[in-house]
Amino acid sequence: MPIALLNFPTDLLGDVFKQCNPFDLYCFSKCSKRARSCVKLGNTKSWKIKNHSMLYIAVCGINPNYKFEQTTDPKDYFMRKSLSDSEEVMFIETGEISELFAYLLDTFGIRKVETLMFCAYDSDDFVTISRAMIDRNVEIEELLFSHVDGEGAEDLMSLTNQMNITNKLLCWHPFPLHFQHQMTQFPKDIEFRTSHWLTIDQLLNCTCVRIELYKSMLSNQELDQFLRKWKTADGFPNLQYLEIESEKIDDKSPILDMIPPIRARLPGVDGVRIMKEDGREGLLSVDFGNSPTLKLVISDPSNE
Amino acid sequence: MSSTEQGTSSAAPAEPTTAPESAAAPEVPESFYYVHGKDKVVHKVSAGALQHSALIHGMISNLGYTEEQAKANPFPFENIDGDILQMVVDWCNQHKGKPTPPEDTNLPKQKEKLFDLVLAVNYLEIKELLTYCCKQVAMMVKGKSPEEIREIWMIPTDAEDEAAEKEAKKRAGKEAAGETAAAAGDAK
Repeated sequence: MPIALLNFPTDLLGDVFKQCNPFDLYCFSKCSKRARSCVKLGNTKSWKIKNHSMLYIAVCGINPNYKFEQTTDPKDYFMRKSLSDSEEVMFIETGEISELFAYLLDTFGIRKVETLMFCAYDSDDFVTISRAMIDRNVEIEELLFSHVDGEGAEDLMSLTNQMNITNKLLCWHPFPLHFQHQMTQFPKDIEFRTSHWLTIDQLLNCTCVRIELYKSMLSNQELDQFLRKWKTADGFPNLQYLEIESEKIDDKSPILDMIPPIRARLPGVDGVRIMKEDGREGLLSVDFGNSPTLKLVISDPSNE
Repeated sequence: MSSTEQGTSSAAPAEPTTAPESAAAPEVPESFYYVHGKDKVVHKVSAGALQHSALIHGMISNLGYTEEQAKANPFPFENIDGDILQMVVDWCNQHKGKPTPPEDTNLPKQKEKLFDLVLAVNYLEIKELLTYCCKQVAMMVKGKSPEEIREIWMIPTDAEDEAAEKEAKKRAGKEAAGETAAAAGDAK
């Protein structure tokens, strides 16, 4: 027996939509423009979204996660499957993934991305998706990308300065030697598998909690400069973990008056104890194992 | 559920959950109120059952009616069909003094009445029943395609919405013109 839902008062519509899951509301939004415009009444704005490359986009932040996967077979459109207690999937018509992103963000009023993940596919897509995030001032908790095609990674890195990335920026893309980039804002954690472009001036302005730089070009002198700043009372107050792998680290010049390798004298200790002016301690080590690496682990005052 | 039954059960000595103090306390006679819907059929409902409705509870909390006064002044709910009000009263009686379970099997199953029931429950501010009714409405489209949802929830197409909007605009224009003409006539 049909029921004229859109004749309900607005607050009642919201009460009904709050009982619906993202798949039901997505299908409802496809009924008409008016239907689509009411979906947000179901408190959908608190949901989050994430993607896994081109494979799927999922609405998350609720349990289970609702994955939207594309299919070319019309027979499967809107077909749903429960994958596990924490994952459901619905198949939808194939189209531009960037358009699906924009549709879900706008229909549900979502303003937070849990994870944005790009790897090895047409760079146009993720540039378009990134621009959609910037235009809507969406918060991105984690951005991960690796081995994207062509010049896409370089375009994407330039866009990261405009994106509101809050927790983690993880980049496994092998940037070419000529690549240059100036970071103007830092999330809590950064991890770059090729970081030769990240200069000491940028690192000195870094506000991260965790820094992991591989294939860096930072020298003993530059690392010494960083650590001397860290030792001051207000130097890098957020930093808890630093790992820098660099071919330029050598056993010629000192880092904090110590010539590498820098190791603890006692077995079982991870490094040499160094202290900040504010009394916080860190364990510093520099090793030449497979490749020269500096590590600094700082004690977390909240755990003391 | 009658007042006699209710009074008997609350005073029964065999009740295992009854605390000794309350068993010893003097029995307070339960008060009753009367409501009617569009069909004017009057329903006698205990104040305990009516507590589910925030609207009615607010109305009766300071009245202090005697049985005669209550009988002489039934609350009229002219916007609610008699059979819908009967369903609501039955539900309130069944859940008197009890929290509603998440899956309430006592709800009337007639889907054709669901729309009116939701509106009535919303008007009477019966929060738990409203949540359950909204769940029932939501369940109607669970797993359905857009085309099926359009039918079940009677969603007009964009073209139908546009036509209705045009019609409404036309009507509003005509009414405005009529009012202007009437005002001009009055001025003369």
